[in-house]
Amino acid sequence: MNCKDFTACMEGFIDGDVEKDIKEKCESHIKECRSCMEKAMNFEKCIEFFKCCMPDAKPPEGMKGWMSRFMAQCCENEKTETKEGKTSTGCCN
Amino acid sequence: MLCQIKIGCILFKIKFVYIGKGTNKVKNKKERFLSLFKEYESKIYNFIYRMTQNEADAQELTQEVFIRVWNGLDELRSGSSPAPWLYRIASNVCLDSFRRNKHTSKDKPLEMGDESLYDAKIPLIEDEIYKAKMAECIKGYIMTLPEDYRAVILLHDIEGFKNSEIAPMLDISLDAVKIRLHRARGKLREILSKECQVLYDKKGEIYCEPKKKTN
Repeated sequence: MNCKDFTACMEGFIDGDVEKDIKEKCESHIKECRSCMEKAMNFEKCIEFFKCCMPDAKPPEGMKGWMSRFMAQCCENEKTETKEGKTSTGCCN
Repeated sequence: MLCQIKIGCILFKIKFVYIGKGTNKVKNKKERFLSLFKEYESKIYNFIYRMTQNEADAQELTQEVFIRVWNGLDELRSGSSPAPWLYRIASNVCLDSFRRNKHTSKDKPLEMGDESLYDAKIPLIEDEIYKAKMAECIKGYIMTLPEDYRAVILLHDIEGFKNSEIAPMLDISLDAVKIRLHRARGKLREILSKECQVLYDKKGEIYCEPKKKTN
């Protein structure tokens, strides 16, 4: 594998999305080629950097209240539908 | 007579067992739903928030996701991982919303990005003061990606799904996932290299700051 071949499949290699033989060729290439090794490391760092810039936020408190109301609404619907002879939706259990 | 009583008993038992199973199924549905909500509320909210970059939209669309989850819970086989199914619903809800509200990006189909960022020889700098600003910056850049590309890069690089898992979530081919991921990353690199000065701190972690504008 040369540098051009490595560049072409680097993304798949880093994502773990290449066949075993390609993976092995990539691994042996970067052991010998410092430039491609650095390129691969920079690529990984870019992805890590991107992840760091996207920290998790806490969902708004209103979500829990909404869920309670949603379940209560389901229960109301179920009572009405059961009276009409329809199958239970399961909210009241 | 005895035979009729026996048949009656058997029918009663069958009916009893049937009702019992029905009740369990129904009870399981509520339990499964609440358990999914507990485990995935934050994950789905964050995915949608990253897609929309708007808290109110994220809250409303997360609720829509869970309404669809409740209505379609029977589709989820017990024992199978719920994550791909939930993210499929979440992606659909987001993309439907973008289409409804015409939040479409005006970007042309993405071209290949500039590879130079990977080759750059970047000086080591220890200052971390810009990290919060940097995060804001990146969020803005993410929003410049077309929604379907944004969905792929978020599902892959942030949520950690494989390309083969993303393809059925978005109803696109595996090759389409790979192309979109490659182009979305390329586009981000291009914006970064154009708008930002990319640096490494002492630990070798990458960070950036806006390039100074010259008049």
